[in-house]
Amino acid sequence: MAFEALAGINGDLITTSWIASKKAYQTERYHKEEAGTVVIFAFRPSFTAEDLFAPANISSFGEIKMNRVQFPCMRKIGKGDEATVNEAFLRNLEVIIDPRTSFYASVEMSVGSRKQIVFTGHSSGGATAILATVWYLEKYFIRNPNVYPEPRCVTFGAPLVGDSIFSHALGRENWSRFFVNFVTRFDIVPRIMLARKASIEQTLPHVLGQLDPTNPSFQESDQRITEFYTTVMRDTSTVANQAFCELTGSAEAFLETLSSFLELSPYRPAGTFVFSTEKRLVAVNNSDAILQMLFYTSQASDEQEWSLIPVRSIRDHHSYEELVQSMGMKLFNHLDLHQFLLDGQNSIGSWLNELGVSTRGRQYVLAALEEEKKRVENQKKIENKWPQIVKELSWIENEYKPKCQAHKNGYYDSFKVSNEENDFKANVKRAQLAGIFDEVLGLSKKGQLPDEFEGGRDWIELATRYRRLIEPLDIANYHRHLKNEDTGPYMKRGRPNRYIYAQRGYEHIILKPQGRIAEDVFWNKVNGLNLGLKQEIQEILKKSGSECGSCFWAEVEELKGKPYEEVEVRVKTLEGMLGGWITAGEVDDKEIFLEGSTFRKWWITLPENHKLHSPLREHMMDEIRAT
Amino acid sequence: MESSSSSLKCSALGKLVLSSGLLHSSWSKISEIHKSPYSNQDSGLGIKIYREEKFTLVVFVAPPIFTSSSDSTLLPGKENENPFPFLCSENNPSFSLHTPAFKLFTSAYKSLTYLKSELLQTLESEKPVIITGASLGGSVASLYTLWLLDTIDPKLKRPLCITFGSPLIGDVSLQQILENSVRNSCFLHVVAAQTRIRMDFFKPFGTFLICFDSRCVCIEDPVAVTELLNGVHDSEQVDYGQVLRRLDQSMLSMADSRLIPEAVIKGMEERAEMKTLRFDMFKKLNDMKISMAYIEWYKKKCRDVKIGYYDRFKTQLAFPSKEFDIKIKNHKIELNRYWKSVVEEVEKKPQSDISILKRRFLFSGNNYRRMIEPLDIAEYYLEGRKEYRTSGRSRQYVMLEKWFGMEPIEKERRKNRDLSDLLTFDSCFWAEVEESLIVINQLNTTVGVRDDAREVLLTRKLVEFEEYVWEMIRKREVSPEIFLEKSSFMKWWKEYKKIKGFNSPPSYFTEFMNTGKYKSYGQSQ
Repeated sequence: MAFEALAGINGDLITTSWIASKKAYQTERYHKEEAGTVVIFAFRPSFTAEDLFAPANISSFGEIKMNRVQFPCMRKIGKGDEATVNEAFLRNLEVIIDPRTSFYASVEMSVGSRKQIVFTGHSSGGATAILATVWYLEKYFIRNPNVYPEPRCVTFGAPLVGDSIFSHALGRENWSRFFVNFVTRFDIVPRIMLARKASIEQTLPHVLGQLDPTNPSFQESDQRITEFYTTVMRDTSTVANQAFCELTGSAEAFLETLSSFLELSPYRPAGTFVFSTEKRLVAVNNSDAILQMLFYTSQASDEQEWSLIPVRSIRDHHSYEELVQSMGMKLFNHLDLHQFLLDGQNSIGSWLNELGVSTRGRQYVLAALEEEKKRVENQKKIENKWPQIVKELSWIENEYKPKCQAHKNGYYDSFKVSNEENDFKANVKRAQLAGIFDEVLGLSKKGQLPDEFEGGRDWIELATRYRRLIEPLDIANYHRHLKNEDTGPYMKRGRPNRYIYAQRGYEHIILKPQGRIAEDVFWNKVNGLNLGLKQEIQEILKKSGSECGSCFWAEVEELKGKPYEEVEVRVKTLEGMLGGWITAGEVDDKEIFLEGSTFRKWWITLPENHKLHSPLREHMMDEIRAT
Repeated sequence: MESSSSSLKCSALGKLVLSSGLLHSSWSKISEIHKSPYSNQDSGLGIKIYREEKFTLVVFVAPPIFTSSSDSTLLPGKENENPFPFLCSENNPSFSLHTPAFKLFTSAYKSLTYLKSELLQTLESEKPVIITGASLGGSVASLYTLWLLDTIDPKLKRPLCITFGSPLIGDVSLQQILENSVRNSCFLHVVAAQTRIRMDFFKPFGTFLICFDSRCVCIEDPVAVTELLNGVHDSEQVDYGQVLRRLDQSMLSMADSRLIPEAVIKGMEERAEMKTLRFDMFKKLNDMKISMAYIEWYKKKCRDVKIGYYDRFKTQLAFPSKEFDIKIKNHKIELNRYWKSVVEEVEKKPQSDISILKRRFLFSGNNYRRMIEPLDIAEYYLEGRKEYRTSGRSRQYVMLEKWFGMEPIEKERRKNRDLSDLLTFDSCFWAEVEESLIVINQLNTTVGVRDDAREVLLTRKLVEFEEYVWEMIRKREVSPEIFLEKSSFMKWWKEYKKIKGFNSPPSYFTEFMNTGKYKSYGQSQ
């Protein structure tokens, strides 16, 4: 058995996790176990309805957005929207991770001794384990991935916890590999969260009673269980089919209209799922494929089997013991893109067959892999454009900028008047680069790139270089054509999304190790300038060019035409930010202080009293002395 | 084994529609009305509204169809004769509707108008609306939905029209109009597979759910729908309640058989492939910006040697010398080709969809028109042709100007703004100059007997041009480049001055020119 392929999880660890998970049944919240250099935390599952759907939550699936201060990585970087998770599970985690708990102290201790932590649990205990792992990753691991050991999360028949952004964020940070979820074929629990709360509310308490392993009174045949199973699977079918149509882009407009009438579960599989057949274990990490499998592995092959499945859907929730015991004898296979590219649908088809997936169902799973293949190909296409991007940027850096500087007004001002042939050349390059970055943006918005792409350090660094170098040209262009008069300020109406996304990517990798978010950092800095009442200042600076270094020129252009008294706060903010931007490389100090620069010319006109106390005074004086 | 992705998608969408429960909700209300003792008593249209928890249902009930009628009513694009003028596109200015459905629709026009405002309120409160009906009732429901869609803010949820075994309502023109509109996504027609629908005159639009025994597929491709359902209409009534029950029973089971003939699938796939290859106007917009940058640079370089880019282009066309000039010609061809395709795409769309076009796109188009059309004019007059504005303009310019004019843009132009990069508002300005030069030529080459009447006529034309130019100067809507030394406009002015002589009374314009005020026109003050 090649379990090592599961990112450092071996058979022993799984067995130990399962045993710990069982022990947790009898605890109040969790059970802790040490095995050599590994510490295992197993969480107690709950079988009451209010621990599955938070009672006060009025949304159709009991979901809630994750707090971005506490979980800064759990969102889409570019668009900025946070991941959604089940509120009941999140509340449960919050109780457990309270700094006053023994759990918190234990984790601190393990972290202190650099021991590897495994979070585990059966049923909803697994959901807690997943969120606890995310919490650990955000609180400890990102601060210093070289020092803190990688966590592991092993769940048995856990319900789904988060939405597609949750799964995307884990993929982007390369954390998906830490999560392994075991699912026995008919187990209903991993599918429950795909059903609408309202449709299962009536039967849920009864079914949960049946699912509880500590409950001795298990009934064989039960109408309520059949009803529950049918409802869950019907909704699972809706979600799986809708997701499939969306993924493959069929009938987009009609699908959109139709979907607006549907209540669709937001929850999606995250991490690796391990399905079990008689002979083998099949590991799948493609979230779309897993979703299809959750539906198709639970279908009956004939009428007779059909009537037995509802009961099996309960019983299989109790059969993880057998799964763990028989693991050693089974083959282990990866149902992934690699295998798909290796021999098409041959092996994958036969594994799915063993899992009871119909011919049609197999095609859905394969189509999901086909889409993954397209995402990888899209990434390659973009990577092929890197040399061109680098070439154009280098020309701007090494040719254009120095030549403009020689004219003492910098490339911003040169481009703004565009009287030289080089300005024209730069304009063509600007348009070419915009084409490439807009294409990437389009793919990223539609989810047509691998999850890891958005977080890739190399790409973010290239995009940052692009943003710092070229955005000033876009701003110059905007003001050359007087679009600020026609359409409104650049920051409000003109800033292209390709720069906004690039800025967020940059902020993400800079702030990630500190566990902070950009908005807080910005307002902290502003507050540090002591310019007045916090709320008033926030209102004044909303969507101002001081938000980002590469928008420096946009702010200068906005302030330039206005009387000082009107914009005093904005002027002072800009000056206050400038030092940091220069140090970080956001703004080029060789450019902005040049004699012919719009910035310098404007700054000179500011009231004497302001200039006297300005932090830029020295800079400006230096330049004067130098010339 | 069917391995094609198209058939997979059709069946996934079919299952989704089925498991959504929307068909059941609609049908149960329809059958409720049909069963009630009051139905079918009169021959008019019945409408009933159900306000459910999650959505509002509007059910249309019409008298049964006794004969399969294929009468059609032609609706011209004019507002007073057509309740759907907003649907007409430049390409399809009129279309025909199924007469029985249209008659029922117009007969209840008053109550439908009332219903419309009611439903708009519902939609604004974010509650989705389903409009449904069986048989002829479904046809009227479709018509009503089309009508309703015009007034719905694109930001709101779109309503969904669900019909059961309904006759088709529109001809090939309506089909083409809707094919290019997002409205097409608001129609779901449920049809039992054994049903045959006459498609010789009326054509399908929207999405079809075709129900086989225990399976169903959802198809949007109208050709495939026609291939599957076209035939002589049989009068056998289908009980859709039963159809839905049968489908329901097998929803969670595994059986999955081939439903659509391989040949139909193949055709669908080919058409889908073609669609992806179709012109993507947004993707190429950045490339076009590069071409525009070239021409902008060209314009600037020309100005440096005191000749406008219009006149430079005209001379260079006659005597091509530099590579740069040839490049400019190619960029112009590229740009023309692109915008011609864009305009063609847009013209397929219903009128009311055009306003949805993104602003950025409309502005780019306007920029293109003002920048490039002068070059087309140069080419035109160089070839010795006349009357460009009325007989020489390419369609894309006419349409772009029209659409730009329709957009309510309130511009606040600063009085003292520097106009050196301004593009003349009227992109046909140079054609007017050329026409005026021709008039001067005619005046100067009068041979033989003087013809006073002709002379007066020609002179009046010149004065009209003067007034036209002065108006633009006054409004600061013309580029200062027209005053460059070697420009055709200045050539015109020199001749005009001679003709006018010193005897005619001075005008604002002649004073502006004679005193040299024009030299500072457009400079920031």
